[in-house]
Amino acid sequence: MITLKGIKKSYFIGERELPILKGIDLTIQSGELVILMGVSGSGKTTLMNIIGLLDKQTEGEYFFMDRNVDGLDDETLAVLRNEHIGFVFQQFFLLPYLNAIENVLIPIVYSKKNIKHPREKAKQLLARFGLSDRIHNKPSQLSGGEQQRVAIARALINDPDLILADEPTGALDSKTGNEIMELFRMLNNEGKTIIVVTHDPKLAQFGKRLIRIEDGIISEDTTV
Amino acid sequence: MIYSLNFYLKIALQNLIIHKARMILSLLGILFAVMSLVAFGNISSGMKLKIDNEISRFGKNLIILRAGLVFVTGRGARQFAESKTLKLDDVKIIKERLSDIKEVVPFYDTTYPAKYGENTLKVSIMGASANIFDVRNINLILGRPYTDRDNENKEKKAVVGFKVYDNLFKSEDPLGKYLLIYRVPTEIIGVIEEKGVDFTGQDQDLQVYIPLDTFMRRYSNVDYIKGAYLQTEDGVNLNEMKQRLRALLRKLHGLKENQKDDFSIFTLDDILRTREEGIRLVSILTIIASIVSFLIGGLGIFAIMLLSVAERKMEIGIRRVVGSKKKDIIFQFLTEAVIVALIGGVTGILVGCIITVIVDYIGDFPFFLHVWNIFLSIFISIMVGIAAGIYPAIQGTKFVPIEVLH
Repeated sequence: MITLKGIKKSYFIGERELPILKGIDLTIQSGELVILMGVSGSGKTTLMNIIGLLDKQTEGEYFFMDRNVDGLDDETLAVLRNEHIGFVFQQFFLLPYLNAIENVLIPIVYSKKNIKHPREKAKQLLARFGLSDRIHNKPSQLSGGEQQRVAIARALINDPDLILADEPTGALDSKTGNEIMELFRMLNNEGKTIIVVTHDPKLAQFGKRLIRIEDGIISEDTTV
Repeated sequence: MIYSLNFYLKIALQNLIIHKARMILSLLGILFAVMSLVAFGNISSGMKLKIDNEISRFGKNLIILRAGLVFVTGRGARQFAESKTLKLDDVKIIKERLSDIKEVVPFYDTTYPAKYGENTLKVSIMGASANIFDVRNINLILGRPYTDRDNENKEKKAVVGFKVYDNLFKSEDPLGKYLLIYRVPTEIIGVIEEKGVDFTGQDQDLQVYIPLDTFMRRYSNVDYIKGAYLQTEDGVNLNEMKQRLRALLRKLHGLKENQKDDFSIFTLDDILRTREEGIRLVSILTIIASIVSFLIGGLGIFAIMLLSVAERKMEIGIRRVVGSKKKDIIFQFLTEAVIVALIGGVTGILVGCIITVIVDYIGDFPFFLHVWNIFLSIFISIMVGIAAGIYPAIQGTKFVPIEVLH
């Protein structure tokens, strides 16, 4: 599903080159549950942005769903993100003035995929995550765990092939965090490909594959 | 697409509700602009309608010829000097020579007390040929008008205005009763409907119409007349006709180059158009005020949209991440700007119409809905919304989504 070949990424501060990723080779198959672990500054977030088509590498090749995505324009990337990737963030990023179900439906607005009965589907997703009675609540009326589950429902509404979660438990207590990770495991068992990016070593146990990033390169890649 | 437009509208309205005070302030400019445009359009049209009504009530295509010197102002006609040189023959020659003149109504008017029983009323006596009832659109509620034959026979018959009837006869049937005018008993044969005050300030309900020949021989014994109404065919240029008439009359009166006219010619338009001049001046001021208000309104929306875009970078970021394109973001913020402008516009139309109703009531103007101004207002509101929203909307696509989200 994902193939990275010699990916390098540098930021430039004035004349100075600041290398973040120093040559990443990585293949992720469909159906995997990957924990991408690294400390702050290791380059894991940059890698996630590149995998998620939110950022472009300086060097190397990236094949997403067997397609070389280098050089695609913003609009095409937006379509690819919309149709194939569901994003989950540490800060949830729900729109404060929309209720739970409306937040879940946002990707549908930009979707050319023919999702049938999106509202019904959103309801079902929320019900599955135990939020049946929270459908019409605004984010401010939901707990952190509930908000993250709404965000996951939003990531799933468009039937993505890949879920990218960036520190999904970072803003939650450990019990709620574990519940969220269990949820990812459940989704993975149903066949979803999931990549969880985290600095938290405790999350390693939830994955089937652990990739550790240190100083811009992969230092460990173990399949459990 | 239908779903997404719905969604944008919903988002726009939700944001409006959250930021009520701010949005209301930003749409005030457009509200005032549209309000003044609509109210003025409606009211000025109502005023013009009233003027047109006055003209058609007074009689269509009329030129008024007056002996002596009469000045015309916006408030009516004022006599400055009298003259006894205008004769019945002049009017006859005018009718013969100027083919575009369809009807001539020579008249002699004066003010005199009329007496019935013990009661006396100061009335305006109008000796005029019988065609005055047609030319001046005078309708009767009782009896009949006098005829050419009555005029030829110098019958002492009168048609009286509504107040004359109302003041002197109360519940009595006036027809066949005799009114004393110049001590001459004059039989009342008709009563005119209530007409009010005409544009010259003359209370038409206090008039008593008598056949001209009767009046000149039996009452006043004069050989000259005070004036004439000249009715032209439809489509005749009244100003041109005035020139021809003046030339003819000067010739008939044997006036030399250096002598002044001993008559005055004017039209209803001369009087009423001066009022329209006033309306036109106010209309220019209104348009300027509207343009300024639209500009202020546009700036208000511009500022609020810039603020809104800056505040909602997270929202824009997350939308971009889940797949919105730049044009989707632009469209969303444009929709919001246009909705704010339209709310201002529609409220302005409502307030403008309320003002129209109030002003029309106070000024006794007929209500007129200037539909064109309403459509124009909506159009301009949308345009102002787009113009004010486009730059902030584009700003919303100028940053990289991941930078806002990490």
